[in-house]
Amino acid sequence: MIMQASSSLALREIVRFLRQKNRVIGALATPVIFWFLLGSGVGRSLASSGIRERADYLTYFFPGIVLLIILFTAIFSTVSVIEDRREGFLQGVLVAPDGRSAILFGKLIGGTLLAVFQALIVVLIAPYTDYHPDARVLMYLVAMIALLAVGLTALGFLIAWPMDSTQGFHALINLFFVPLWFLSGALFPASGAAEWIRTLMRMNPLSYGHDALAGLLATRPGMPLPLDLSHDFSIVIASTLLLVMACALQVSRRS
Amino acid sequence: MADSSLCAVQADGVGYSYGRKRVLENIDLRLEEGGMFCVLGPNGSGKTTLFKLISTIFALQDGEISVAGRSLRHFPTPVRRKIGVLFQNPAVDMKLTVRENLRYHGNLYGLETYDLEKRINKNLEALGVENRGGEMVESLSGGLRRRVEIAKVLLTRPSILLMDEPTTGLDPAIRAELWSIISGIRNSRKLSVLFTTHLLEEAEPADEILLLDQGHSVASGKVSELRSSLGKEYVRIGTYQPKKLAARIRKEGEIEVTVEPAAVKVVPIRGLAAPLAIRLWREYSKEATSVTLCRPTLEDLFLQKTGRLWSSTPGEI
Repeated sequence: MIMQASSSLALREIVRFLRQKNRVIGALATPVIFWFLLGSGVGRSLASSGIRERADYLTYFFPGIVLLIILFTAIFSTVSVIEDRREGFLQGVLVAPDGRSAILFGKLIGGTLLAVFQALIVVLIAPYTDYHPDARVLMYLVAMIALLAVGLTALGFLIAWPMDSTQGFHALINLFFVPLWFLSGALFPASGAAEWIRTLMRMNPLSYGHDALAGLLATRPGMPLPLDLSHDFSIVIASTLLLVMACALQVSRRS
Repeated sequence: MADSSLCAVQADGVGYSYGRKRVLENIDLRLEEGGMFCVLGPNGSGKTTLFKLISTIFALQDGEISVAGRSLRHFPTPVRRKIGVLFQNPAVDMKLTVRENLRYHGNLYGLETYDLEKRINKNLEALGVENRGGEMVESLSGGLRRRVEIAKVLLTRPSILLMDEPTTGLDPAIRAELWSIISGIRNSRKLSVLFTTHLLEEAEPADEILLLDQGHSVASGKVSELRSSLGKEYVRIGTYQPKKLAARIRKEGEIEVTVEPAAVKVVPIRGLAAPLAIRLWREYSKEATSVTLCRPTLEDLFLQKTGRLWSSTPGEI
């Protein structure tokens, strides 16, 4: 029954997403524009100072953009927890026999499916950078994207659940999510950063997600998988499980 | 604790606090199976908090509540299968169609597809919205949204219907229509109904009421018994100068006179109110804008118990 309820609520997330055209355009176009402008701009600036080539930076920045898409989707799908609460829909779910578990898993499944779908659309751009993922790599990519999506949606859910204001949610999102992304290696590699930044990046589970995405995308057909892939997967799985358990604990508590 | 075997909802000594603020204190209520119970109170009296406790949204702090013979403290999930809940704000998704809303609700309760579709068709027809199935809920009027919500809530065939201020935001005609629908459903499905309201006239058809004020129970029982406990019929004289008129009427003797906003209430100590009304109309027709023969109302009950007029109770901001 929980599966039926959760999958039904997940489907609702997708239907609502597709019915809001602005959301579809915003979710897909923003990271791509961000990638192109920031990648080109920063790349050119770095190139003019003789540090890096523009095309190199666009390629370097690409896995970070995939991560950003997952992040954006998690934010949008969890902000709907607050909207559902404010518009009254959530209370109808909370009085259902397994409503609390259903809303949690519905949001996680819905957010994950949307994130995987959107991230894969962007991965189609990969061959236009220096990446040429094959079927085997794509399989691992989908698994990592799905894991990251579940984890980030769970983190968003954890923040959104006790809140009743979307403004407050966005303020906290800027506080949590944006630094998490900055310190994941999406914008700059850890190797050249200050020691304290490197320490923070090592502590950030998203760094391992980014590392896995970057490693997988750089794996050309016939090449072996990145050496630290299983390490990256272990850390991302463990962090995701912790976040999902924290969410389950939170929703099980009644006021 | 009283015997709860024939009881749809029973609350004993229920209390609740938001942090340090106590909002409910020692509340008892008993809804008989098939009965209709009203929790009546002005805004801020604790009705919605009590409702959220009974509907399992809030966890119990003090006291006990049992629904369909099951303790809410220990068995909230089985209780949820027995109740249908209608909230103050419609719990429907505006971005979905009527039919989609019902379908998601049915899935939430694990109904099988074939059975669910049959129930959806039946309920939409029963609520007179069978032609609106494909429309977005956001495009419907407030009254129609309420009907959709009732159709949705009844999909799971609850034995107890809980409603929190179900007519909020609806105009009087739609309100009357909604009550007529609820009454029909109650009779046809043998539902036990518990609802909250701040509208005195909505409480009248209930079998029993609980009158709340500032988190305390100020009266409870059958409406007719509560009314008769207030005493006789009386006369209310509408006037622009209630104090002046009251001073003149007091000289008549053998009556109790109370000044109200734009009115004077006159209760005969001996005899009947009807001849008194005729006499007062004759004698004070120049000062009076109206003379009404009244039975004691729930508003009088509130005044007697709290010393305040219903209309003077503080509202929620």
